[in-house]
Amino acid sequence: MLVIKDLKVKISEVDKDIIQGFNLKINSGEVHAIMGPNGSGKSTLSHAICGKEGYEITGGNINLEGRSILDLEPQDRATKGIFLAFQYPLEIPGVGNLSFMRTALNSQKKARQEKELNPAEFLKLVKEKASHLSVDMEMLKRPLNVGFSGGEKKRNEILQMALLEPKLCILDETDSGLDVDAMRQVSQGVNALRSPNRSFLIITHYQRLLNHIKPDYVHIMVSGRIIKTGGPDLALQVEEKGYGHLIANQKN
Amino acid sequence: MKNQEKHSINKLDNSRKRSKWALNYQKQCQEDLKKVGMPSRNAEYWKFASPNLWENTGLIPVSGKNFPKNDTQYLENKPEYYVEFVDGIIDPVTLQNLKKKLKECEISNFEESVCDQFHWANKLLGKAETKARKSYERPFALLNGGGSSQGIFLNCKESPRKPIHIFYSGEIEEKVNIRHLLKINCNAELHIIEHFSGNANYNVVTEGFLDSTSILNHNRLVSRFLRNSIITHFFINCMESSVVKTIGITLNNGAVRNETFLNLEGSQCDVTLAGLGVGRNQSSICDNSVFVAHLENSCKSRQIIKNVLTQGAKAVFQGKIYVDPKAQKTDGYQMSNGLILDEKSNFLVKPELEIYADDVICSHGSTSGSLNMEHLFYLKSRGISTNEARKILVEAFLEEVIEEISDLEFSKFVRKEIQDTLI
Ligand SMILES: Nc1ncnc2c1ncn2[C@@H]1O[C@H](COP(=O)(O)OP(=O)(O)O)[C@@H](O)[C@H]1O
Ligand SMILES: [Mg+2]
Repeated sequence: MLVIKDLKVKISEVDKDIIQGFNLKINSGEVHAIMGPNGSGKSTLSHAICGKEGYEITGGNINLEGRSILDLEPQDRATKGIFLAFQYPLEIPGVGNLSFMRTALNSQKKARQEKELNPAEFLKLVKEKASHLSVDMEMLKRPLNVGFSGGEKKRNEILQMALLEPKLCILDETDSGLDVDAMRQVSQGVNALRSPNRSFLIITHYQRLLNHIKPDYVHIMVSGRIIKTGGPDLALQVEEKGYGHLIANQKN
Repeated sequence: MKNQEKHSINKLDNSRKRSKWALNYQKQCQEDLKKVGMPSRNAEYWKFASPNLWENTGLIPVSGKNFPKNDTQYLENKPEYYVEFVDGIIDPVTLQNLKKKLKECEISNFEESVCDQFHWANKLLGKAETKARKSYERPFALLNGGGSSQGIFLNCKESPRKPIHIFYSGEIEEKVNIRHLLKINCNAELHIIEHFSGNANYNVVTEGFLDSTSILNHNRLVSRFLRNSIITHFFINCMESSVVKTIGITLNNGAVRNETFLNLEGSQCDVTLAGLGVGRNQSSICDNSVFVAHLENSCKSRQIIKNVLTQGAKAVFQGKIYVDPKAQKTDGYQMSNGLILDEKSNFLVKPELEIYADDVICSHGSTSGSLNMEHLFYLKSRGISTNEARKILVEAFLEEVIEEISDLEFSKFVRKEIQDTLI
């Protein structure tokens, strides 16, 4: 599904590469978790995968289903099935949440030459998906993320993910700022989407999310590259001993 | 501009029948204009947009012509209440119909009003204008006053059920003066929607007199198809606890200057002025020059200006809040935002506060910038094309003004017009 090879990423504001030779392979249906200390480049990686402007690829490649996506615009990557649940979802006054989601879904459908949904069809679909995430009509009618609590923003991201049915779901610290109940709802939302043809890249600080969403692999990312890969027990190790221990081990 | 003055005075052929009060006013305007003169390029109040842009406005049309019924009307179904000015001249059929239907208001056209010695307007004509001239001279309004023969005088006694639309249509590039007078009695609410879709160069002056606890709702739309010059003056006098909401939507490719003067003469008035402009090329100039005078205590005023500019378009906002020593507990607010989509376009702003009372809240701000790249990325990351995402963000920027429009049918129409303008 996704193959990242020796990726190097520079952002315009910073002189050196933030991502420095990053390798990752995710097969269809797999769930990968990336853990790492603050500033290790996790969000930069997720933005680079989505094609954000200002993120210069200075080396390496990103392939989706065997084809490089580096020359694609963000919207084309989205249409190909890449979805990022933002660490900080943006508040956009004046844009209705509901009409934003319909425009997004129909844009993708149009680009894939599928039939677009009319407002009634869309409303039915969104209501069904929203109910599982405790997103009510009131939230859907508000301007996009404006005045949403931290938890509401994250649930709204997962709702978009459920609507757009991407092939690769990237969750950037979706668990941060969630209370126990919201964490359970979000995890259930994610687990409901798990399928043999959908892969997940879950970026998190804490092991606790991984109790709800069982990963196949856990990677530890430090200073722009993966320093260790393991199974779910690696996350437990981090929780117990911290990153410092792993970094020290690596240096030896 | 000397010629123009002479021209407009010579053409006044109906003046013989006019009543003394109207003749006096007209003469005064002509004399004052001679004293004041038309504004020069370097006049302070015109430093952002040259008065030459509007030098073709403000002559009276040749009267007594036929009314070419153009079928390029903007609404498929005409609204219930409307009058139409075709090439600057009121269509008598529309006026007749309106008079018949609208029992809540006394309506007459300009000419019949000024020929009536005892007309209700005889103590009002020019009074709000005179007050407005204390802040700045308004030569284009004087030009209008010296040579108007068209307009409607409307005395609103009770609230009409629906908005009254005023259409300005026509194909000919006439130079047109139009003069309206509105009086709204206690407890009445009037909603006026002006729609400019004609090719004439308009000089429109509206004076409004709001009795206590009355409401004036006013919308002005300048069609996206026009490239002509338009200057409007909107002079409103507000008595105690009256409410004004005036919203201007400017979508054309010509020069539009709206001078608004809101005189809060009673306490506890609540006034809102909103302006929205979409400028698409270098002949597009949208100028909102606003003066709000707080003269009594506990009034509230808001000014909200939003301009989207591209391809060398220009927008001007001169907004002043004046607070008299008597006007304690004033709550004044002013915000102007320019969304500038390229380097060729300009958003020129001059906010001013002049405050002589100590117990007031007045805040003002102005921003000017391009599209938010983070917002753009968020939309694109969901599969929305660059063009569509830009459009969504531009519309979102304007939404704050659009949502002020109270008539749902009209706001729907405005939304559609804006969408079509942005394509
Ligand atoms: N816009 C930016 N300007 C300057 N530095 C940035 C910017 N974005 C990220 N960085 C820097 O890049 C590094 C990686 O950041 P980020 O990818 O956000 O890390 P993480 O998500 O792992 O916490 C950090 O050192 C951060 O300070
Ligand atoms: Mg991050």
